[in-house]
Amino acid sequence: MHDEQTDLPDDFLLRMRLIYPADRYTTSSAHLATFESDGLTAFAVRPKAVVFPKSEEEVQQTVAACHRWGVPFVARGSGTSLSGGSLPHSQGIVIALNRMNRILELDPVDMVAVVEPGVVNLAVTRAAAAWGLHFAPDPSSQQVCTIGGNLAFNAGGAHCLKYGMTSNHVLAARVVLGDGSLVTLGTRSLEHAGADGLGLFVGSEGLQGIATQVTLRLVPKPEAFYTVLAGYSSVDQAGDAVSLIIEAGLLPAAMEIMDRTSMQAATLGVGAKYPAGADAVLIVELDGAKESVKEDQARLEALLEKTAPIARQVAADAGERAMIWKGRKSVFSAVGHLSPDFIVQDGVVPRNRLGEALRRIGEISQRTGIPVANVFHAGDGNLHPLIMFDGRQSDALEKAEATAAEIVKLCIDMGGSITGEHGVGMEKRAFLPQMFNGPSMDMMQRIRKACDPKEVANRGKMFPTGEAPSMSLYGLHPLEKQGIASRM
Amino acid sequence: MSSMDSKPMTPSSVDEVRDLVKQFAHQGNQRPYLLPVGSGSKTGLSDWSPILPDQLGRKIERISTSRLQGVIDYNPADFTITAYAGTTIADLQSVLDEHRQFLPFDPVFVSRGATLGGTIASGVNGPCRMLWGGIRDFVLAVEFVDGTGESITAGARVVKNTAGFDLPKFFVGSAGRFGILTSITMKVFPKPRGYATLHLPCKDWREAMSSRTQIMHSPLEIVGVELLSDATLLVRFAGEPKACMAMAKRAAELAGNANGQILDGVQEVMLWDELRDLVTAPAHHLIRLATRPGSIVRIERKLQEWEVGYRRVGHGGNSVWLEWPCQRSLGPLGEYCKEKSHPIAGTIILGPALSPWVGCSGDRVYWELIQKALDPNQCFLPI
Repeated sequence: MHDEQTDLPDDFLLRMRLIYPADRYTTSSAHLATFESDGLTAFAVRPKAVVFPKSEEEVQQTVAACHRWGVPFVARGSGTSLSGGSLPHSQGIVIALNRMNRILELDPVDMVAVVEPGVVNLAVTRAAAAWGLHFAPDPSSQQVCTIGGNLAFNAGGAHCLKYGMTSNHVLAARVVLGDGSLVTLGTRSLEHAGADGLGLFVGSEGLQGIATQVTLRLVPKPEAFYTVLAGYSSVDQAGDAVSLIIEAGLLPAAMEIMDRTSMQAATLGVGAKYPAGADAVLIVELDGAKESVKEDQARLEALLEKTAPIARQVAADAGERAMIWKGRKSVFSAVGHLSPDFIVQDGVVPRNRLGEALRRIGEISQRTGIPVANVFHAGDGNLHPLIMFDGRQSDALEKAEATAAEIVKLCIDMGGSITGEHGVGMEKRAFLPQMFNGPSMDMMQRIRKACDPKEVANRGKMFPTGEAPSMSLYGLHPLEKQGIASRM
Repeated sequence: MSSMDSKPMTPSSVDEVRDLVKQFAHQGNQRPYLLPVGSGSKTGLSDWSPILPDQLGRKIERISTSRLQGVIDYNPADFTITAYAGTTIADLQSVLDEHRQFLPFDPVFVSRGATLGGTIASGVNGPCRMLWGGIRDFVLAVEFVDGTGESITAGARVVKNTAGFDLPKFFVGSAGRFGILTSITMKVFPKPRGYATLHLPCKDWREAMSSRTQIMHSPLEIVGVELLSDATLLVRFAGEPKACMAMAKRAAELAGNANGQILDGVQEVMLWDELRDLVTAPAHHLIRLATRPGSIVRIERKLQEWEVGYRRVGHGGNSVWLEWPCQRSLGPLGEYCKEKSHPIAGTIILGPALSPWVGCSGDRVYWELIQKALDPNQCFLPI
């Protein structure tokens, strides 16, 4: 690839050229431009160089060089991070892991897949299908997002209520730490002896190092589903239905709520149909063995009956189930029909305070005059307010950001979290100290420095620091426009 | 029975824990190491041989969380409960019972007084953790006192959170080497309304493991898969009672073994209670190895060769429980577990030992890095 002048240290550049052949190393501005942003398009930073390792050895050599010469690096998979987690550093390099995309082993007895970090999430499930197994975490971008990114940000999805997040499905990883050393965390066993190092690494947003090989747990695919969509005259009523289901002791795989604006967007975007007069819809999905689903279905129906919905639609087959989910997952790309720009947050509140949180978001929206659509993982208390604005108007972005900040603060005040699944990244780093006190923040910094003394790994993310690139207008990521990725 | 010189210190508040650690941190190099303990139900982690202090060159002072008791916050509608580390699991379960909820990782040694903090620090899951997950999958937040005497919070008291480093998971299995847990938030789930077990006598462990794989690849909702030393395979199902019976029948068909029997009711519950709260002779170490299912047949051959009396495969082949006579050196087991071609790590749950861990853990280098960060003054025992 073409080489252009950079101001990286000469010795470092020489080292990169020794590690990489010309077609896997670039400093050409045309190439670098494609790495400027990730899924959070508000930020754009051009790195000094991009390298494409094919092996753990190359990753280790690269990181060791970054450590030696103090060059910051950002590891990147498909670049779908919604918190700006894989945004490049202006003085550093991007280590693009897409060419480390081999499934190294599938073991049906141990029920594991051993993969490189650049393997796409859905590819694991496809490969495991021969044994009726799958990789359970299903972030909406699963067609394109990579396992390395899923690990770094502990990716979630619509089915976390029953199945957990990425961290709950990873058994082991080989990791190159920020100082270039290689460690192995975990084993192929579901059980562990000693402190759970892997648990601490997963979700560390690339600040500790790079996973070069990952052992994933495979579980049997559910054989039966029961998916129902119920319309209600208010979001509160839909929220009450969620509480009733939880109190009755049912554990659905997913429970999602969409408000009227979100329904409008899905209708405009993919032609989704919702009950007339409904101000909110609740989607509940049961899954598992057919014997279990059959019994739970009867209980769920009896409970929904009590909530007096305006209407109920049960998915009669796989096609109808897919339609319900298509509508639900299209909301983010479809909001473009209602508003040219938007910000999405993913804060969490205790589930029993969802109604209160939504009321307060409504009040904020009314006071600021900024419309907010709500679609959320109701089972987890994981909000996804879409803060809509028109960036062509002066100070609209600032107002929208102020609204977003108020909503994040609301989540903290209610005893929740600033992020349920997108991560802190670049976007929410100013808020982390509001969630954790000084000693807790210091402790996380100490851990980071223990793994990466020169802070070269994903420098500038998660912790508030001085080096913040300024935000530009929000807009849809190209993948969102195509409907491949969404912000849930 | 403790082999330590003195009784543990028993602070009654988080502030007292902090003060104690700060006092220790300011003493000279000859100060004792601190070892946090709960009720002491898992002696392999809490009650050590007196030879150890000599080897370390410093004494060990235990600090018990037994007076840090009680539920701080229980939110049944959000599936979360927060309690002090010294709260017994039995007390916690009785609170959860009122809302028909439970700790799905099936905590062990409940009848021996196991505490929440000790359960987290041991990292040992009960037999019925297969469907929902282990301790690591249910710990949401921790508050602990680090080696500098600061009280640190990590995680959040909600079921979903990705803000900051996930230290709550790191404390699972940490055996008091990184800090003193003072309170913990756990995710809880609704209690299943019924159980049923397929009891399947097999010719040998090889045949049993083959049936296990057949059954575990099915979409049946399996909470426990145990294999006893006489090659009996036990597969437990949870959910609606009718569904459990139907799933157990389907599992018997999948295994293609006509000797299968389906158990339910009190007999079934008692069977799993016994497996969970293992009763072992004090003359034995109780050890749990973390294993991969593919290696079980090979491990079984070795255990037979060593004439290990009590041995059981847990978690569908992901663990092996065994009793090792205290008078016999743990050396051969350690050597076997460290073999490069198939390294195994284990936890010594009962019995005196030099370290609570046996065998080989690749995590060790990482633990040492994190220990330096959390305990720069080396207040807690080295790894």
